Amino acid sequence: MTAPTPGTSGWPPPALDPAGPFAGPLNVLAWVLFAMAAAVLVIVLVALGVALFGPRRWRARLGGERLIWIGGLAFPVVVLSALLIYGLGLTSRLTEEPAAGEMRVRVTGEMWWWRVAYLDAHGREALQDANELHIPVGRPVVLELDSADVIHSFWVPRLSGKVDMIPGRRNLMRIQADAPGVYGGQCAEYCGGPHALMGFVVVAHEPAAFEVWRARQAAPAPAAATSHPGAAVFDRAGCGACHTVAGTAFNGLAGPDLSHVGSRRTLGAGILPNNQGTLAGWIADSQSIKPGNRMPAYPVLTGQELRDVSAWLESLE
Amino acid sequence: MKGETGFDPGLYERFPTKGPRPKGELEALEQVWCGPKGWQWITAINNNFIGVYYVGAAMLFFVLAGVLALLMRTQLALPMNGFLPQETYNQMFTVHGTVMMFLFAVPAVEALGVLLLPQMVGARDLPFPRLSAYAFWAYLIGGLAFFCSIFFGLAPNGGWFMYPPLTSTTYSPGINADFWLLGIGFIEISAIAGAIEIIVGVLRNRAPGMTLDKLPIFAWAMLIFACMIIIAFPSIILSTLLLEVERALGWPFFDALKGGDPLLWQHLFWFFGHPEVYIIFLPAAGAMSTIIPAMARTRLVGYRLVVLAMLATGFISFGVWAHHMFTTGMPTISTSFFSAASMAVSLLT
Repeated sequence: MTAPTPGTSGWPPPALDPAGPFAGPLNVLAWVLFAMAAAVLVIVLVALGVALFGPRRWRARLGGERLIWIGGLAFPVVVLSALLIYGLGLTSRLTEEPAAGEMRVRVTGEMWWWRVAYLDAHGREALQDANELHIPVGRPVVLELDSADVIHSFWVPRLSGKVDMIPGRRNLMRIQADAPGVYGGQCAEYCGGPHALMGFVVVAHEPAAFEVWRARQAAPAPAAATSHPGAAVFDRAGCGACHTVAGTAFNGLAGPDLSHVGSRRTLGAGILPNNQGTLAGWIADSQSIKPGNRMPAYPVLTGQELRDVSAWLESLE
Repeated sequence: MKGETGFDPGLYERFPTKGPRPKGELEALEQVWCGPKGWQWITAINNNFIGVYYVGAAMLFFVLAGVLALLMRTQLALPMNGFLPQETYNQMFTVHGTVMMFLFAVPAVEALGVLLLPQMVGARDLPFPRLSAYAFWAYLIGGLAFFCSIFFGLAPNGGWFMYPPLTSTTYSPGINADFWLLGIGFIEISAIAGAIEIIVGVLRNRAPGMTLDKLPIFAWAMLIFACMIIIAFPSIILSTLLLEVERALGWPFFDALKGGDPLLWQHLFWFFGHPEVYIIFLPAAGAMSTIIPAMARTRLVGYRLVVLAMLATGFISFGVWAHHMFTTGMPTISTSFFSAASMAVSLLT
């Protein structure tokens, strides 16, 4: 099998390479804490060296109660208080309440993929997608994080910290990318079965390119597409019971929306590059690629049928 | 003239005794104090033997969980490695975490206490030797039965933290999770029994004249450790009970669809789980504070300060559990409070 998640900025997503204002302060704080811990470690090691090998007069000074009061109480009180105040100040922006006019996307964790719905100004679900989140660069996007089954956790390390998706609750988080690009993400709360294979990508566009993308997503499948022989295979195999293709009679809701599956970068929730070959392989035997996932394998389809249906899906861009 | 405990200090006047020893005294003493022979070792209850068994069993579980870790690292050595099937891997890391936390870490330090404490406070044995023997055998048999579930593919697979709803009947329909809930529930009851024994042993069975400010520092650590177990472990017993009732009888405690809340589990679990860190840490710190001065041939510097710090650590460690839940979307004021408390506890540590 191939290494997972093609087309992203490395795998696993780099945690110490922030690319937006909601990830940057976390990175700074991590390094400050690490540097302070390293400095304290050096102090302790020097004290240990003196205690073992130092001159008698120094050792006697180390062995007094005064050192406990200074090194064990006063020093940590000062250092930790300073770090706490610094850390809370640094991260206070991350938890600001979202403003009313900000772009909102509802992301729902499902076993083991991500349902994505872009909300319009009235909070209605305007666009359906899966396993891929498109955002314009340079402005914050508010994510409404839901869960359809168990607890998942949404994490794009280069854009933000992680926030859990908990059944019965809705958590909000904001992400922002400063530059166009593809940012890898991963479910960060163990959710059973193939949890490790529950990835996704965030694609950041220039604002103009984002509007182009949005307009294309809003369009249903072209009429010519439904006469493709692959659409007939899709129908016969019953794929429409779980998958929706906008503009056709296929309107299942259990699985990812496939209206524009051909334009996605990855397949199987961030684990395979998306092309006709991987699509055909996924349909024929997704269970050996991602064991336990909710899509049954279709070994009954012939080679020709697999070629037809994957070609049709690949053409839905 | 008797003391308040009924002990007559006048008896000291008889020692050291002079004159001839009674006939057969040495043989009788040797017979009373000899080690178990043959099959007697199963029925031994003296802490010298139970303590060794107990430490040995904890080490056995340490090795077993370590083997699981080696298998998992082998799987992880290459991306998409096919060494372990997915389900086996999920069971292994759940059993590994569970065994390390519940069957190694806490029992190992408790075993050290059973082995060393009576001698350190000048007693012949713990106050309830049969209880400690019972706790040991229940722990060994229960632990082995729990571990063996992995050989049958029936081991729990929800992670050692067992967050519902992944571990509810909807998403874990098999009996795997029930093994965990019942097994861990009973192991914690056995740990509480051991903790009561340690508290009574330290507080009531000290040698005459050993006041609390002369207590060995390790005994202080074990006293605080045992008090923490008695406060923290009922929380995990309660949560395993609630989840088992939800699984077996359908009562909704954690199911959001029926009005429960998955976060209730996380609060109960971590109210136990974070003090657990210090429950493991304090006896080890106490052991170090005993060993190092002995090896360096000096007195422990700041005995009172060390005791005070351990007491305060034990106390504050009950106020930091929610720092395991920072990603669950708690209000900022809560996260700030728990950040500050977490720093305060590291201060005293």
